[in-house]
Amino acid sequence: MRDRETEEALGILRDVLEETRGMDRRAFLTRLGAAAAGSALLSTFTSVLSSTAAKAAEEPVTVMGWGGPWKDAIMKALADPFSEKSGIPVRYVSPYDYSKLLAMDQAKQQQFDAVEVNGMDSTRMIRDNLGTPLDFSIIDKNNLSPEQLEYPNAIGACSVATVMIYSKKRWPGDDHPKTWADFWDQKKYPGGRSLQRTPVKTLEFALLADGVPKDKLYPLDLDRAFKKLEEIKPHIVTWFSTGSEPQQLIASGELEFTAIWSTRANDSILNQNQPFEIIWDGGASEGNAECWFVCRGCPNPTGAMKFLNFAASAEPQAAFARIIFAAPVNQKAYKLLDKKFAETMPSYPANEEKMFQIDFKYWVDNYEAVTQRFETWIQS
Amino acid sequence: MAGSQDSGPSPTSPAPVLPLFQRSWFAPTVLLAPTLLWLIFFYIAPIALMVWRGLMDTGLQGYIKIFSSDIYLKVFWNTLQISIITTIGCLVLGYPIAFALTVVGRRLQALILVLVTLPYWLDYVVRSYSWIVLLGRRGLINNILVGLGIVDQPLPLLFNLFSVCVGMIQVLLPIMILALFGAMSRIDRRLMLAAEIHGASRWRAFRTVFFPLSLAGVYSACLLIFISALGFFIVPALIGSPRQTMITQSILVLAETLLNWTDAAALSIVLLVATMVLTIIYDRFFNIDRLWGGDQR
Repeated sequence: MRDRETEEALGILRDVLEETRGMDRRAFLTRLGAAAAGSALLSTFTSVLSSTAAKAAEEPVTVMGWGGPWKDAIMKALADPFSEKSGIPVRYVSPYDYSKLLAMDQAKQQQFDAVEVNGMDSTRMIRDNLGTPLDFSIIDKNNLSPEQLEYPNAIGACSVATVMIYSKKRWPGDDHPKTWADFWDQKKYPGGRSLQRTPVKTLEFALLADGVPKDKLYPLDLDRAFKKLEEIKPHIVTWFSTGSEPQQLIASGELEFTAIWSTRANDSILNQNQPFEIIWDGGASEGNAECWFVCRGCPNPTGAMKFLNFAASAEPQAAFARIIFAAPVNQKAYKLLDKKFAETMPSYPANEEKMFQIDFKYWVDNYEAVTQRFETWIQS
Repeated sequence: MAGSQDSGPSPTSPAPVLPLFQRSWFAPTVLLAPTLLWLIFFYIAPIALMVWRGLMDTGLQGYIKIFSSDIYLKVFWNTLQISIITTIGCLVLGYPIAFALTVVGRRLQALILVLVTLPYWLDYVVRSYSWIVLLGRRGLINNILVGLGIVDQPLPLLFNLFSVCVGMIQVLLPIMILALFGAMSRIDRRLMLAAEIHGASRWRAFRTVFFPLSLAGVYSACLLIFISALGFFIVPALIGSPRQTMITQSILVLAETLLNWTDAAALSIVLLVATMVLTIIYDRFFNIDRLWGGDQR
């Protein structure tokens, strides 16, 4: 079902992945850049030869997602290779703003074709039916893995988690914090620590620290969680709200250990060679809930389906992981990743089973009330 | 406005019929029309729509919720407190620099102006992170203080009211200096000279002549800084603690993550109204024209 162009684009990614297997992020990006430049030359050449003027007139696909490094990764791993071969330009809109998506749907003026949303917003999109049924005559199911089709009208995009990392400079030996109970234990492990300014995951961590088993977290015992949080409040250096904060603060020594997104943790460790270690035990996994959707009433659904057909395949997912350390949901992508690299990914089975799955259904129902309570508590 | 009496028609001669484009209202209207249309379409209409829809959907519920909940009252108080401290801080630091700008030679003046405006082109986020490097527990300042034995424990300089105000003063100081400089340049220097000829010391001339004349500019600049400070959110989010949550941060959480647009709209309207009331009060007492360097009436 794949056309020759798509196959070629995937082939280029596959070659780069193979050639740089086991190498670091920079080596991968350099090689990818060179391959992209080469193929661009080639495709200009062939398009001049075959004079496929129609290619230039393809309607663009508008994609909404996170900005900054996330955008760069999407462009390099997914969008540019896709546009290069299909001739369909991808317009990437950031910052990520789910309320904008919702507002445009309500006004019946949806401008986003394809969106990649986090676990919470995926659950909201499914509840509010903001997506459109996927066209499996364009999207080739054979190239996907069952994990990607867990949710209706959605394709699993990537898997991320929130985990604890500690500084090996502070605790070089075996006696380092290993659980959320240790994170809470200011006497045994004194030092700067930080949590995210959101009740999602934070309340779960508090309950785990208080001894609740990870399969008995939901529905959350809110009073118990807030009581436990009260213990740690004076020792929290900062409640971070952006991904780069804990990364910067632990690197500069302001923090000794912290909750952090797995993507950022891996960026620090694998890309910046920082002496940190990830504790997967008790981590909060988003599972397969971070998904691609084609928006209901969007201007270019066909283009969006074509884009998803490409973006959800193994090669782009593996390339995306190599650039931004967001794990593939497509299990076939693991074949393209070095074993050592795979072991750093939250969707790697050995890591995933140590974590708990965030229950987004619980959170979508309770998010506003709990957030109000959390904000009132945190600001006092 | 001062010329309205002498241009009026006298009873003996009939009023001359001016061509359209010579009438007094014509040129301003034509010149303002594009901006006015832009503002109506992209600013006033959406806001009016937001207020209207909010009232239609839920009545005054959003507003009642805001004024009856401790959390928003605290956020208002934070915003007010931080904005006032920031304004005063900018004034204290900015006034001497602006004054210096008016007395130094042209070359030095140009140099200072470049140095003042240069940081303004740096991204807020970058500037906030630089404060982390300076003010942190293991930051430059604490390392020096502890290293020299001045303090035993690192001082809590970061993630509190202090760091938020320092960060905001740094961002807004260039605006304060430029606004004051503009106002001070318009003060007739010969007045100070006259005071000195009459035997006043330099300090006395400054105190009794220059300073009172500069007050109009000071009020305008302070208003400008205060209103800008009300809308800050990146600085308090990055280098403050949740206790310094400002109103725009709350609006952002409501609109973007909780999708509670009713309360978000109500909170935005409260901020807008507060800013407008402030501007109107200012205009009653000090004349808003001065803010953009209009002549003193």
